[in-house]
Amino acid sequence: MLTDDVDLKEIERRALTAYHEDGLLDIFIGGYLLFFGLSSFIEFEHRIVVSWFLPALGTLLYSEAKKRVTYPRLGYVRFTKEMKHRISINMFMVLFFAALVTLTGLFTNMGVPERAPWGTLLLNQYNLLFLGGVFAVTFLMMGRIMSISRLYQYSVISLLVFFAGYFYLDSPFIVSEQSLGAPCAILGVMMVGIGASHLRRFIGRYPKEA
Amino acid sequence: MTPPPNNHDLPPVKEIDRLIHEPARLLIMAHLYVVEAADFLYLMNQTALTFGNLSSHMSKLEEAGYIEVEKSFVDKRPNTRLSLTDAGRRAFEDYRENMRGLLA
Repeated sequence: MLTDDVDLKEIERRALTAYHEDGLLDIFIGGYLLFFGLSSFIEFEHRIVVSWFLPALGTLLYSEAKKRVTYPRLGYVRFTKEMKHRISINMFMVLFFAALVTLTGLFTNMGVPERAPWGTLLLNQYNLLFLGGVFAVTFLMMGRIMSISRLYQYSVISLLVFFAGYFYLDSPFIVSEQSLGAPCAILGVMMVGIGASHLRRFIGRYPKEA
Repeated sequence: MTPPPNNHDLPPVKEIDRLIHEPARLLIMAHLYVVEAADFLYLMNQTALTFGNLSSHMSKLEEAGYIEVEKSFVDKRPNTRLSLTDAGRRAFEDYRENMRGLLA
């Protein structure tokens, strides 16, 4: 303790981990996935516009929730420029991830002509497997950068959910919008549930000062 | 027979900053070193120090010019924000360097 073993990297990691202990990130990403998944079952106008608009709205709501829930309980911390840079990369990744889901959804909606390049056909045919892989890698990277180990669990869960979706819902040559929506919704429900349980634990652990 | 250790190679113990050497203050300095600023509540949660303990160590570090304390109101509640001064940052780095030399 009194040596140079005051592990600054560990303290930095704990600061970041504590900041995300509230489960809000899980709730917001899960909520978006849930919306995306459920909306594929319901036809409504401007669905694509709403899908694009939601991540921006979610980011605003997320920062407001942080102000109301996290700071009054955990306290406020301003990270260094280097850490802020890392956090903004994370935020970019979250938005990129949301955009990727939306784009893949669009791709599935549009369908693929019979004479499309083999890569496109393959992507269309194994859409869910591809998407499961994308989700898994994204969660894995986010977990590593943000030092949140539960994101690794989501990586495994998304692989399982999408692979199960491929074998149970998807016919190899008929890629329906719903076959993409169902795994997204299931993953979303799981993330919101896990996030809510973290939030509950966080609120119990850090009661708001009177 | 191995020769006795040459004590002249060791940095003098008096060079160790006693103000930082105290475990609770070392913990506060380390937590503030990795961030730009943090408030009192955050430090209390992260260091597991009590209000009184943290407050007393905070005053000592502030007197030494190692930390800067900024008091304000956030949502009509008093808020105490702490950050390391340049002198504090240097002192912490020197402390780590000296300890490393002493225990290497």
